Amino acid sequence: MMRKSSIVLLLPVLLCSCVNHKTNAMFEFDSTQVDEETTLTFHLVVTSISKTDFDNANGLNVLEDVVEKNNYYFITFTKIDSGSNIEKLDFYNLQDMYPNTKSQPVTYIDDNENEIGPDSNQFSCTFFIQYNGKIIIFKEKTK
Amino acid sequence: MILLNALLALSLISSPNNNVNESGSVYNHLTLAERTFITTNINSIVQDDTLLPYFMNNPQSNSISYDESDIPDLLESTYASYTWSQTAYNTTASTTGNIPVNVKNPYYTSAEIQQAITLSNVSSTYGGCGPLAMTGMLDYFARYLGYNEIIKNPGSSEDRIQLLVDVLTKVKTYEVGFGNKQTLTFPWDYSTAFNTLMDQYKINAFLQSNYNFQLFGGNRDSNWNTVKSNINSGMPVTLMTGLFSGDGDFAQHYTNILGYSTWTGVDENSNTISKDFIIARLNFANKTDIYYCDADILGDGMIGLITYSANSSNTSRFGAVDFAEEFVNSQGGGQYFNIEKGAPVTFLSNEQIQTYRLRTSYIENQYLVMSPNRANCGSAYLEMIFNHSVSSMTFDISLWGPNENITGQSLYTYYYDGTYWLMYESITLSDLSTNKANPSRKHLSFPSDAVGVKFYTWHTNPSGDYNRGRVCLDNFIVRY
Repeated sequence: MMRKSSIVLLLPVLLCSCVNHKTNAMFEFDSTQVDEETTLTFHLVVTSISKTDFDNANGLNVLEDVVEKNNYYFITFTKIDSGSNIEKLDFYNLQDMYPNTKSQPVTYIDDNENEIGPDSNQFSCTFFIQYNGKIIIFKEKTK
Repeated sequence: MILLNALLALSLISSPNNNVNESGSVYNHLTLAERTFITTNINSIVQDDTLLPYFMNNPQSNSISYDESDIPDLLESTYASYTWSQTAYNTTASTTGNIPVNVKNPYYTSAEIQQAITLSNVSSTYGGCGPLAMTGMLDYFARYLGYNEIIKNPGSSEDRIQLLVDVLTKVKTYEVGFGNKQTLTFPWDYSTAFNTLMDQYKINAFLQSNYNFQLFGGNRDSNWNTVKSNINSGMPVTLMTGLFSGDGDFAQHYTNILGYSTWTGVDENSNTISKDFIIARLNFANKTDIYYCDADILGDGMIGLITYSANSSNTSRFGAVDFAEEFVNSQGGGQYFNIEKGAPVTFLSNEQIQTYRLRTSYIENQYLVMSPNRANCGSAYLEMIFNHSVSSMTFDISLWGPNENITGQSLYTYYYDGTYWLMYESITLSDLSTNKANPSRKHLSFPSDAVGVKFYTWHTNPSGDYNRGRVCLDNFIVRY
C-alpha cells in the first residue's frame, strides 16, 4: 500500500515536462555569416574576459554566463554591407531571458529585446542572434 | 532520492494554470478521468516488481534525446566502418508545402508570451512547453491549412497574443518548484484542451486531436509508423517525453515532429544497418532551426504522442485555374466584359457552382482578376453560389501591382442567403499586398444560412483607357 501511494504521488512528477535544459554554456567563438536575402555579412566574435573587464564595461556588449558561473564574455557583433561599410551592433545589459527556470536553454536578452544564445554539441558550435527582428545563425564545425 | 525530490516538488506545486483555485496535492487537482487512468495503471505497476528498481536505476544521463542534427558526423563517428547515405526523408512540406513554425522565435516571441501570460492571469514562468507546442500546431493549421478560425492573421502580433491566451487558459498546466520553475502538462489534458478549442472555434467537425500515452515504452516501431504515416499525410505529431528520455534537448519536453529521416550504412562486406531520426521543432528561443533526434526515443517509457486528424470531406478547395475554361472570351483569352456574364463553373474536383461576373476574368492563363477602374465602367464583381452552405472562406487576395490607382475604390464581400445578397465585410484595398506572387491571406466566417459569396469592388471616379484597380483572387478554401 505504501508503495502504491508513493507511485500515485510520484507519477505526476515523473511525467513532469521541461526539466533542466539550461546547460548551454558560453564559449569563445569567431564566425562570419552572409545573409543570402540581403547579401549583408555578419561577423560575430565572442571572447572570454575578466570580471574586472566585465564590470568596467557597464553592461555594453558583455554578459555573465549563467550556466558556468563566474565566466564573463565580450561580444563583438558587426554588420558589413556590399560597400564594405562596417556597422557595430551593440547589446545593452544582456540578461537570462528566463531566470526563474532551468526548463529553457539560456538565451540572453538585452534592453532592446535583442537576443543571443549559445549552443554546442560534440560536432559543432552555434550562436543564435536575433537583432532588430532579424535572425542570424552562426555555426562552425568543431571536428 | 527520486521520492524525496517528488515529495519536495509536490509540496511546492501550484494549482493548474486554468484559474482553478485549489490547494493540496497534485492528485487533488486531477479530474476523475485522470485519477482513473493513474489508478488503472497503478494496479499493473505494483504487480510489476521490476518497475520500482527501474524507476530508481534508469539513468537520465543517456544520449537518446540529444539533438543529432549533425547526422553524417554522428554516424561516421559511431559506425566508422560503414558508409552512410540518407535513404528516406519526408516532411509535412511534401504534402502541405509547409512545416510548423518555431515558437518563441521568430513568432510568438518571449515578449508576446509574457503579455499573454499576464492577460491570461495564469501561473506560468515561460508558458510551458506543452501549451507552446500546441500554439505551434494551431499556428500551422491556421497559417498553412486555412483554419483561420483559430487565428485570423498569424502575421499580427495582436492575433498571436490572443491565440496564446486561448491556449494558456485552456491547457491544464501545473508549475512545480521554487526558484527553478518546471511545468507539467499531461498529454490527455493537452488533447482535451485542443479539442475544446476546436469547439470554441466551431471547427470541431474538421480538426481533432487524439493522444496515446505509454507508461512502459517498448512501442518504438508502432510509434515510428504512426509518425511516418502522419507526416506523409501532412500532419505533424506532437511528442511528449518523460523521465526516461535522457538529458538532451528532446528530454522531458513537448516537441512538434514535422518529418523523419532514415540513413542506411553499408560496410565492406555489404552488411547494412539503418538508423531512423525524427525531425522536429523544439520551440526554444535559441534553437529556431529544425532538429533531429534518434527515433529510438519513441520506444521509451512515459511517451505521449498527440496526433491530429483533419476532416476534409466538408471542405472545398479551388483556385484561379478552376475558372480558366469559363472566365475567358470565345478565343480563350482574358476579357473584362462590361455586361454581366453568368456561367456554371466546374472545378477540377468536379464540384460545380453557379457564377455571375462583371469585369472579372481569367487573365494571362494564371490570374482570376476583377477590374473596376476604366473610363465608363466603375464596377466589377464575382458571385459564387454553392450547392451547400458556406460556413467560412479563406482565400488569397492582392492588387495586381503597386500602380492600380485605388484612391476612391472600395471592396466589399457579400453572402447569399438563398434569396438576397447581404453586405458582409469590407476589405481595405490599401492593406493588401501589391505583389500578386506573395498575396495577402484573408478569412471570412459567414452566418449559417450563407450559400454564396460575392466580391464587389467599385471606383467612384473611373477613368483612363487601361484596366486598373485590379484585384487578384486565388487559393480558396470553403468549409461547410
